Amino acid sequence: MADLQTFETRLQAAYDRYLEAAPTWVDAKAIAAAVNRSGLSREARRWQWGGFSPAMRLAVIGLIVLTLIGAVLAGGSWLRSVVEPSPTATTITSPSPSPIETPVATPSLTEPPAGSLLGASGTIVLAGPCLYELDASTGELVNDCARNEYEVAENGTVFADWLWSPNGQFGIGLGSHSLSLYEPGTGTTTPIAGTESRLPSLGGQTSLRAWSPASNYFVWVGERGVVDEWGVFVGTVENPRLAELPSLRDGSSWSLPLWSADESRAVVNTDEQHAVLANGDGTTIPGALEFDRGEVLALSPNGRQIAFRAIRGEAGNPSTIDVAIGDGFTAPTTATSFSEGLLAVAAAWSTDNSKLAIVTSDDLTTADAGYTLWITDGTGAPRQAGTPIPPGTYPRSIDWSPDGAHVLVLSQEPPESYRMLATVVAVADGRAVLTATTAVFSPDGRFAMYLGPRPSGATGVFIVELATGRTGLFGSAPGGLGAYTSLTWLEETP
Amino acid sequence: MTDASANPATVRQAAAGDEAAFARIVAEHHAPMARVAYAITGDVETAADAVQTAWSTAWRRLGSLRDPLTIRAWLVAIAANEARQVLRRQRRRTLVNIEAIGDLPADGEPGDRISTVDLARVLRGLDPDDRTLLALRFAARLDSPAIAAQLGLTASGVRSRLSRLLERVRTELDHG
Repeated sequence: MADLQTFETRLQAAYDRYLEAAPTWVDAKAIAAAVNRSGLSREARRWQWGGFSPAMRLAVIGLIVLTLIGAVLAGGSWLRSVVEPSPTATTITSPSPSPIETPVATPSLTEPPAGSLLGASGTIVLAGPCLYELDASTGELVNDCARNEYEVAENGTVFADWLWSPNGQFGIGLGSHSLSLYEPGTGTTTPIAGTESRLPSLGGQTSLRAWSPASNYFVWVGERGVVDEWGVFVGTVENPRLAELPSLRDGSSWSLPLWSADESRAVVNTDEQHAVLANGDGTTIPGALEFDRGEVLALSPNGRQIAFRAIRGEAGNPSTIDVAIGDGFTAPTTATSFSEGLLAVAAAWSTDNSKLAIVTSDDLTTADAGYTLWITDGTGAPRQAGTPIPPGTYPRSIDWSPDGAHVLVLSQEPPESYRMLATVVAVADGRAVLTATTAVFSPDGRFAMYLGPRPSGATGVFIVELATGRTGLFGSAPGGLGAYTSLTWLEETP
Repeated sequence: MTDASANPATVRQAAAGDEAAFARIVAEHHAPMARVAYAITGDVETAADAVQTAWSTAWRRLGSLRDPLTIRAWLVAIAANEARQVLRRQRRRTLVNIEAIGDLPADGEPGDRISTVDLARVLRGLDPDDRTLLALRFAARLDSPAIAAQLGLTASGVRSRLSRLLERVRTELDHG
C-alpha cells in the first residue's frame, strides 16, 4: 500500500509537469458572452428549481389573462402585449395522444367569439412564449403569435418586462431604472423603486421578482437606502416595502421565498446552506428554527410541514442526503433517505398535506441524467417504487391533483426551451398514466388536459379521464406543440 | 468536497442570467477545467474546444447546481465529460493524435521521475473513462467522495477503480 502511495506521489508530480502544456489563457467575458448568446433564452432560464415561487409558473398565464381583460377594459383600443423573444425554430415530435373517443365542444382560439375570450366558451386559456393580438372592439384574433416586442402601452407607460400577479389584477413592470406596480384597466402606475433609485444589475435577472400564490404579496430587489446595498423586500399593493427578508440583509443572496399555498408561511433558502422560516408577509417568526446544512424543497399547503434536503456528514456527498421534514419549531425527522448517487432536487406536498412527491437526479453533470419521481408519506416508512421520468428531459415542476390521486411532472424537452413534457403518475401504484406535451389537472382532479397532434397535423387540446383513460378532443390550438409552456383550467370550466 | 473560494452569491446571480457573474465564474474556474480536459484529450486545441462546450453546458445547467460550494468539482466534471465525449468520437474515427507529444514540456532530471512523454504514452493507451478518472484525481485533485459525487459512483467504488488503474499505469510505465 505504501508503495502505491509513493507511486501516486510520483504520478501526481508527473501530471503537474504534463499539465504545464494545458491551455490556460482565457477571455472570460468573451466566453460568457458567447455562451449567453448560444444558450437558453431568458424565459427558459427562469424555469429553474429554487428561487422560483409557485406563482411564477403562472406568470405567463397571468399575462395573457391580463391581456384579455385589458383589451376589454380598454374600450376598443389596441393592446399589444408580448413577453419574450421567440425561441428557436420548433421541431415537433410529440407522443401521440390516446385514441380519441368522444369529441367535445370545440371553441377554436383562432376564431374567438366577439367581445372576449373570457366569455362562456373562454374557459380555457393557452399561454406560451408569444401572446395574441386582439382587436378589443371585435375580439378578433388578428395575429396568432406576436413576438419580439416588450411593451404594454395602454397608458403610455412602456416597460421591458412584466410579471403579473396570479389573479391577474396587477403587474410589476421593469423599466430601465425602475420597478413599478401597474393596475390594468385603470392605467395606474405606482413606482415601487423610483427612477432616481438605481437598481442592481438586473440584466436577465427578471426572476428576482415574484408573486405569492394568492397574489397578496410580491417580492422585489431594491436599494436599502445605502448606495450599492441591496435587499430583498416583501411588499403588498398598499405597502411595497412591507418587510425585508431577514436572512438576506447582507445582500449576498437573491433567493426568493417559497410560500405555502395559504400564504401563512414562507421559507427562504440562503447561500449558507440553511433556510429560515418566516411569516407569509416576510416578517420573522420568534422561536422558528433555522435549517442548517439543508435546502428547503417544499412547504406544505398549510405551511406547517417543511420538506428539506438534509446534508449529513461531508457536504456534497449524495450518500448522506436525506429528505427530512419538520414544522419549523421542533427537531425535524427523516422522511426518506436515498441511496448513493441519488440527489433530491425538488419536492411537492399533496393538497391535504399528507404525502410528499420527490424528484431525484442520478447525475447533475450530464445531459443524460436520469430523474425519478418518488411518493412518500413523510413518516419514514418505505416509499413505493419510483417512476422514471422520460430520459433526456429536465423536470421543472411537480403538481398534485386536487384529489391527491395523481402527480404531474412537467419536464423541459431540450433543445426546445418552451415545450414541456408532462408525465402524469397514479399515486396508488406509481404507474405513468399519461405522457404528453404539457398538461394540467381539472379542478376536481378527475381529468387532465394536454396538447397533442391531431390527424390533420394541427395541434389539438385533449382531455383525458384519468381513471379510465377515456380521451376526447376539446379544441384546436394555434401554433405548434412547442408554442405552449402551460395550460390552465379555470374553476368555472364545466 | 466544497470549494472554499466558491462564492454562492455569484453562482446564484449567474444562474439567474447575470452575464457578468458568469464571467467571474469563467475567470476563476477555466484553468482547472482546461487542465482536466487536457489531461483527458492530450491535445491543447481539443481541450480548449471541450472546455468551451463545457461552459455552454454549465451556463444552461447552472440552475440545477444544488450546492454552490461544490461548483469547482461540478465544473471540472462537466469539462471531463465533454473531453471524454470528444475522445470517444475521435476513437470512433480511429484517429490517433501523436502530435501532443511534441507539445510536452521537457523533463528535467532523470531518476525515479515519471517522464511526461511516458505518461502521455500510457494515457493514450487508456480508454476515455479511465483517463477521466485519473484526470479528476490528478488534474482536478478531487478526492474519492467528490469524484463519486460527480460521476454517480460510490466512494468505495472510485477507490477500487483508482487502485486497479494505478497498478495498471505503474506496470505500463515500468514495462513500456
